[in-house]
Amino acid sequence: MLYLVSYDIPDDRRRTRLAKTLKDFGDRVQFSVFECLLDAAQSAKMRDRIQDIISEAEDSVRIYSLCGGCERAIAIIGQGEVTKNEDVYIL
Amino acid sequence: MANLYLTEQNSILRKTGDRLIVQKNDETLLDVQCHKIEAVLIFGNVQFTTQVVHELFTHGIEMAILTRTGRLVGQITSPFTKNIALRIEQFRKYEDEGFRTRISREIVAGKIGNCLRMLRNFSYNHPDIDLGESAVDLKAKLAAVAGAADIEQLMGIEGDAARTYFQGFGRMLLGDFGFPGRRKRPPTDPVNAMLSLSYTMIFNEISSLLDGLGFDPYLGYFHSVSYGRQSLAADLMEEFRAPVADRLTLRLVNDRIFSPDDFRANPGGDGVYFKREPMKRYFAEYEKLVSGEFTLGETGERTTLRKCFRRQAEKMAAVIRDDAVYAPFRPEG
Repeated sequence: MLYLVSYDIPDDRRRTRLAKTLKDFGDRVQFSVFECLLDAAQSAKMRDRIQDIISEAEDSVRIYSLCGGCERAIAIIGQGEVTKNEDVYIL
Repeated sequence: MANLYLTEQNSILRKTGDRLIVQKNDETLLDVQCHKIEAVLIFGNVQFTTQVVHELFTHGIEMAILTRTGRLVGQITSPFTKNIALRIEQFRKYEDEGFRTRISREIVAGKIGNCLRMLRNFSYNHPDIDLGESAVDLKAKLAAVAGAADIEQLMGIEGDAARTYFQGFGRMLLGDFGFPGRRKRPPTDPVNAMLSLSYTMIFNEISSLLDGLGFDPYLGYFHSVSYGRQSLAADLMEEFRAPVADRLTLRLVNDRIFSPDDFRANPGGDGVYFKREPMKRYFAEYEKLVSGEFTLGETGERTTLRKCFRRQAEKMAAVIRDDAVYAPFRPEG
């Protein structure tokens, strides 16, 4: 399933750590927005790792799950494209 | 999940967090999460770090090391799933002469049957090219399989059938390439180069699959045990040669996807191989074939050739455990 993760974290250190962690799960599409294509186990793991980093008193992380229909209905105005899995990587 | 083919010479594969990074001269060529990758294939002078091997093992990602021209040198797999019960049964069955002959008959019949199917499908679309003689001959070989008393006789039938089949195969090639018959180690012309690379690709997939399921790929039933040969992988590959590798080669030639310019003679020895850019196009074509969906005649389900590799390996496991009859892969009906 495709997840959209966005965050608002005032502390620089925690923000950097979270961004680094999210890179393990998906691609950065805007400064504080990631798109992550994950199965159930991976998404649970991501939630755990986010939990370990943030301060519940100060930070906010929002995870939106997108259903197949919603995923197809994403509109992009300006730069960027929707995250998708490649069938093969050839370098 | 996708395969990662690394042919960029002097690049380096490393990891950061749970991501694989490919770099060359301080430039990042790829940055991808591990969970998106199923297997990594390394061709020639591509470096990798010990940390990346740890990471690949953690994620159960297979790694194959090949020469720049695509000869399989070795595989790196984690010692994760060693199904010892299956392994014991696999070795026990090896001692059973009757079992070995029975399963070898199925393997050879599967191979010849699929070759025959190739010729027939082609004849259907090209009635002007006469393949009748080859087909009749292959049919006779197929019939002879049932009467073969032992593996030695089966080897003989299989060898004869292969010669007949490749004569027919030569006539099916319509493009700009000649075909002097099957030549391997090294391949002497572009068509043989495409065949050899395709056999390596499926052999690699099947042997890592067998390893992952807990088999010992070195102990086969039809192919004799010999030092350093993955005989079981060779056994299982037979039925896939025609419908995967030969079919792919035929399409690449007849649809003129490659031209003689895409190949070069090995400067350091003999043999003819893909140039590097065309080889990358070849991988894309290979992936398209093995991961493309089709309807399996046997069950009517939607599947891919890659899933069929696994399905056959699982069938083999069932045969070894329960002494059932092995049914080789048949693309349709």
